[in-house]
Amino acid sequence: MFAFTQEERRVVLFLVGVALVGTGINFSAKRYAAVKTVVCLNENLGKVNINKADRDTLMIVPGIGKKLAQRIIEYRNQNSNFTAIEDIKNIKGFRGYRFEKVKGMIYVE
Amino acid sequence: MIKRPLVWCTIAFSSGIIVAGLTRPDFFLLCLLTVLVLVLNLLASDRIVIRDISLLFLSFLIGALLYRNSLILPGCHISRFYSYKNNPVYMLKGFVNSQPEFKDNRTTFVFATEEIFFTRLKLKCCGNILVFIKAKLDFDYGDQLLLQGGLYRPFNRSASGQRSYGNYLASQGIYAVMQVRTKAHVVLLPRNRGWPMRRFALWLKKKIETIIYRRLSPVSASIVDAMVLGEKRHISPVIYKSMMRSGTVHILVVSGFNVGIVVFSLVSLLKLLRIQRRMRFLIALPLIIIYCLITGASNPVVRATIMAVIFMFAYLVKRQPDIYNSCCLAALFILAINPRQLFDVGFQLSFASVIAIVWIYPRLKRLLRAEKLKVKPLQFPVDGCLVSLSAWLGTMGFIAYYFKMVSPITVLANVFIVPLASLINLCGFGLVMLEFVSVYLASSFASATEFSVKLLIQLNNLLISLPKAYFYLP
Repeated sequence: MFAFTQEERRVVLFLVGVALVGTGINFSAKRYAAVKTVVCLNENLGKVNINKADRDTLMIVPGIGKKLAQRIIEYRNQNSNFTAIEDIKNIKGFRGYRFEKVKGMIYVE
Repeated sequence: MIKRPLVWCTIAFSSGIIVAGLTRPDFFLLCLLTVLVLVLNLLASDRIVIRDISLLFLSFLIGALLYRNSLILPGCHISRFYSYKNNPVYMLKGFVNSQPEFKDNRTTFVFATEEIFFTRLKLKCCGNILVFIKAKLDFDYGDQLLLQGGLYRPFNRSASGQRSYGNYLASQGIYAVMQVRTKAHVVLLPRNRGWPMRRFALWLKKKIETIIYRRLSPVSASIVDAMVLGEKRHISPVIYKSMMRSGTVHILVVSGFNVGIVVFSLVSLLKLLRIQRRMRFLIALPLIIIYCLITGASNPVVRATIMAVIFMFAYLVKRQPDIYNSCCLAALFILAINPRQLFDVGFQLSFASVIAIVWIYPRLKRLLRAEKLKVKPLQFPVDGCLVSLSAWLGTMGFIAYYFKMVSPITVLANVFIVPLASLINLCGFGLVMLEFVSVYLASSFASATEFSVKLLIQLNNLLISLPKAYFYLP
């Protein structure tokens, strides 16, 4: 027949064995390679929670001064917490352009 | 006794890939079968027939198994992320995994992905994608980038019976394409990734290209660039098509022929410097591998490099190399890394031409009694004609199938053009090397190269203008 010598047979068998084990490892690595999360960013990072922030924290937001910060706290005390950031429009001084200015820097939780 | 065990193993291995490509068997079933046959082979060590047949069957199964495994993509593969809902914009982090090309006002390169960013998430991912940026950007291999753009599945339609662009890219391990609108959506990160040896090879390629384009006219430089470095992007389409018609386009891509010239030049140069034979081969070996990397390690170059390494190594250990065995080892090496290369045109043409030259040429010579030719100066052109005819017979079927063209002028064209191409190659290498030694000598090499290239183009045009030089198939 093809008459492989003993050495040739050993070499082919060794290579087949290596290929089989290698393919198995490669297959397992691919099959069980789950999608790993590197970072889960908080989208509210760098924003101010208007339901919990104190006056000084509120005043960090550009566009909110001492008076407006005080009005937010008073509104919170009188009408429970904000349910959406649009609720801030109910406070005097936050309609129109000022709301547009601060809406990217505040959130409610 | 069998003298060429690798020939049978390679045939069985390739058959396994073809059968697995046609039938797509289950991976676990293949694994089970392979283990069973392996055990059978070990148990039947005293029964020669069973032992040998099972050994070949093992090669067949390993081919099928590797092919099947190459089709499986990991869970974090980039191709699992694209979605057509709302046409989302993706942000990817990774590195440039090829030499970037600039053509038609856009930069193209293969990008190895590492991380993908969604609105709030940053996920690990893997796999290569093809990136198109509508701007000219000066990146190098290994540069780490942050890209923002749309991610798409490659175009998958094709004319009947032809391979689609998507299938072609998939065979290269690319399953997604990214379009980046402007250079504002690209951020170059300070880290450099990639393999240092490949980085060095591509840096060297850039340097050599600069020398070639500085010394030669644009047309000659583009041809020398293709012949010496395998870079075809600057060649005029008119010249490329005329070479294709005459069947001599193989000289415009780096192939075994070029590797042969590099080996010959290097060994001759080292011999001239009176370096010992053993030392000559030891110096030439790493240089050939670097040349393989410079030219982009395409299938023909890898094949020729492996064969050259085997031949040199055989000489070092004082053994007789066998061309069939070394050719099969090169094929097994390429296919074990990527079994899908078996369906690649370059792979098929490269191995078909070598096998045809090795197998058909001596038989043709005997048949036509070329050895008995008494006029010595006629021997070289007759031999050249027979080698060319053998290569043409070996590759004709593939060329007719893939390119729908038959060019009988190939046999004659190669007899004249191959020696001329060898001369251009030698002049090109000489020009690059002498640039560092003597500017005057480099200029004379440049003039010789210029003349040879012009002669090559004129000769090629003359040959294809002959009646019935080439014809297209319906």
